[in-house]
Amino acid sequence: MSQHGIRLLKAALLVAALVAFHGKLVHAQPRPPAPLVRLPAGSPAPLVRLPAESPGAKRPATQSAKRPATQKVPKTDNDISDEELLNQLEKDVEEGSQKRGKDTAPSTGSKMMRFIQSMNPNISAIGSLAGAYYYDHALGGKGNIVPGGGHDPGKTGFHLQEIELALQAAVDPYFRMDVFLSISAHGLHIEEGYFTSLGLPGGLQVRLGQIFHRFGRFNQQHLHTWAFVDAMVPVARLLGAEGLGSLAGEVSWMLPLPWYVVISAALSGPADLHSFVGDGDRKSGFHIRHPGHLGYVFHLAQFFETSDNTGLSAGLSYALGPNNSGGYDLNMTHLFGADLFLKYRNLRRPYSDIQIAVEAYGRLMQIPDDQLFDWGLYGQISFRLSKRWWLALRYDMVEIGDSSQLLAFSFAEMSSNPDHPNPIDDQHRGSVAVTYQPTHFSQFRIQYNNNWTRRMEEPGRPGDFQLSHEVFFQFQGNIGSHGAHPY
Amino acid sequence: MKKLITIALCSLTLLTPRSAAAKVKIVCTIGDLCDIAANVGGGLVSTRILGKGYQDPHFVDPKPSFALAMRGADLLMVVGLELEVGWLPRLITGSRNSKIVKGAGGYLDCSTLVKLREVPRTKISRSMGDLHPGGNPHYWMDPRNGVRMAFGIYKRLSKLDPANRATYKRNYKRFAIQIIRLARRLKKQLNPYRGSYLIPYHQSMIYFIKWAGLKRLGTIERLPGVKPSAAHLARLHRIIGATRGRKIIVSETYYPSTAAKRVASRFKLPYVRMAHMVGGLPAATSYLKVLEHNTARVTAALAKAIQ
Repeated sequence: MSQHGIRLLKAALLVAALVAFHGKLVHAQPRPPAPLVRLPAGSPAPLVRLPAESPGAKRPATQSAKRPATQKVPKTDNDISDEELLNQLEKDVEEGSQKRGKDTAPSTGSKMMRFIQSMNPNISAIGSLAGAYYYDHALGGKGNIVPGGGHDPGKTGFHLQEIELALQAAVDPYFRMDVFLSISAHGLHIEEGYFTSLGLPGGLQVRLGQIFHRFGRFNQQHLHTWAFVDAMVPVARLLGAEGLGSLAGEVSWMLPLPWYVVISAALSGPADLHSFVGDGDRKSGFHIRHPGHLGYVFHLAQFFETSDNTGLSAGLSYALGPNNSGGYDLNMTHLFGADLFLKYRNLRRPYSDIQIAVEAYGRLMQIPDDQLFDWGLYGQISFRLSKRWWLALRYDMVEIGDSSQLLAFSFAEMSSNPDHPNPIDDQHRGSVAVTYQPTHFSQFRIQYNNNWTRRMEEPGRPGDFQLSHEVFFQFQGNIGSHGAHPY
Repeated sequence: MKKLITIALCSLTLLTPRSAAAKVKIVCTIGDLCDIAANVGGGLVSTRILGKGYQDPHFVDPKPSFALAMRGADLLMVVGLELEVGWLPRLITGSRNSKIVKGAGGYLDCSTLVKLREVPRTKISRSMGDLHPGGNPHYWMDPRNGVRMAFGIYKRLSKLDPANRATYKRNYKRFAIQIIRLARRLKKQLNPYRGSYLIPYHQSMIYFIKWAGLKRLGTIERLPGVKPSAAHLARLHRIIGATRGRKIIVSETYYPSTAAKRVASRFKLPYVRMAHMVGGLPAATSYLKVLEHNTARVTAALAKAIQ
């Protein structure tokens, strides 16, 4: 602030102090304080925001004199002319929040708070707790030997599925950042953490960072948006326990068409992708020496708003990368996906909707002298019964081509039976879940799974399907301001 | 392939910045904003509303087609105060339109134009219900705020399209005077019921209530977004019994009328639904019609109420 400004500020403070003091002494005869300090005419008063057209210097001097007039206004909407009222309302807008009505002005404290909050990113935490009970016929009811998604409550007992901590804000006019950390008994890991471009022309957008790839619908959804407690079988077993996610750069383009079409292509380091080079033995000693050693993910998303009440989205996905089953011979894994989602929500009946989601996945793996094909799908239908209640039904399955070959190249899921760990083969599952939301920010869920699994007794000899009954309870709660979710 | 590229390029040119003659494309989250903007903009603007008037503006589905509509928008008008926080932010990012990013010239948060009520003075928490930290966001139901919004919209349109400033100003003045005159006429109709009580379902009526010279006697919801409990209804019953004056129960069209109706019949009070926004009821086709229609419904119900 300039010297001139400081002097003015001092003068203004002096005026204020004198006015206050003066007012206390002589209640009955408020004298206009103008003569006490004469401000240079036309000079700006830097700390007070003024209406654009009014001369600045007048304000401190005439404030007390004008007060009766401004106080009268709310009562006299009827007494003044249309034009005068209009001017009054215009002035309100121009003066902005500086001079809001007496009953509406926030206190200095909350103003400060809003300021501080506005500089912080949106922070939220969503906790998901679960209790699980398994009755597995293969184990005589002793527990569970079927592995599932990374956050599934995997055995009888109590589980902290995760606490998702989200930090979201714009970085600057060009980028925003979204970070989702998952905290659980396994520690802390980055679920997602990426930058998104905001200002690229021509409908282009770039995402950089740890992302869940655009590979179908379910793969991009976080735990707390699922209609069930556990992850889809084909996603957990073909794409990865946590889904298909990696450190990647992704370009997507909204095509200039009259309906919604977005195509995307992502380039990824292959190491974290489940069906690719992956973790453990396969990863050791693997270095990127060739563009073919990277991972590539492509997606086509379309949306058709068939009416105000109905929306249909359809997508296709493809991913490609090395699986290192033959060292550096570039044995590749191909993943295919197709997704379909239909939502019916009668907008005139606020709290009811029907959502149907179907996704199919295929995996083609080249291994030395052979190739393997596995596939799976899920179908899910969920009904919103009322403002607080949901019902969801699901069928999901996976068919494994040759689990002993998968085992040989350490791609197979192993049962967690401590006595007899054996690779898991085909799986078919039917589920039903009921969800109750006391408010928009908390929910209870109860779920039953009828889970049929085939396990390899010995290499090359798949056993019979064995049934496991599974019951889950779940509670979720959300604090803080959590960003919006996709359709 | 060449053909494809040509088609793509041709369609791209459709999206490039508008020429001087093209309309200012406005997208609004609720119909009232678009109706005011259409009155101020006249034939110089085109408007597209995202949420339906009979839909709860807190819970609109973020349809990808909305991102498509926002892709070419010059101005995005929002209610603000976190009313749309559950669905809009992701659409703004998804629209890939840097003109309408929060803080840009094409983003107009209308809550910055109006006088707000129920701005929390203390630190709030969700145990107090789904409160809005910035204040009650249902501010458009006060016609004075309607004038203020029209003024702010005129200012913003003049900035985006300075060549037509004079037209915007003329339109704005005419529309603002229209609002003021209508509001005066409606106030006269409401005058006999000054000081009567409205019991709304949600906290969304306070702006209408204060402007109309009425009073609020609790809400049917226990807390904002929290359904009424038996204890809360019993307390409400006691308050209603102990309060003299005309009392009616009102609800927005998008809340379940069953709870409000049950309360109304139990307490023997008239019940009326109000259009919360443009399109909320079939007769509420414009901002002015919403005011007129709501006033007519409320006065009719108040006339029936026993004193």
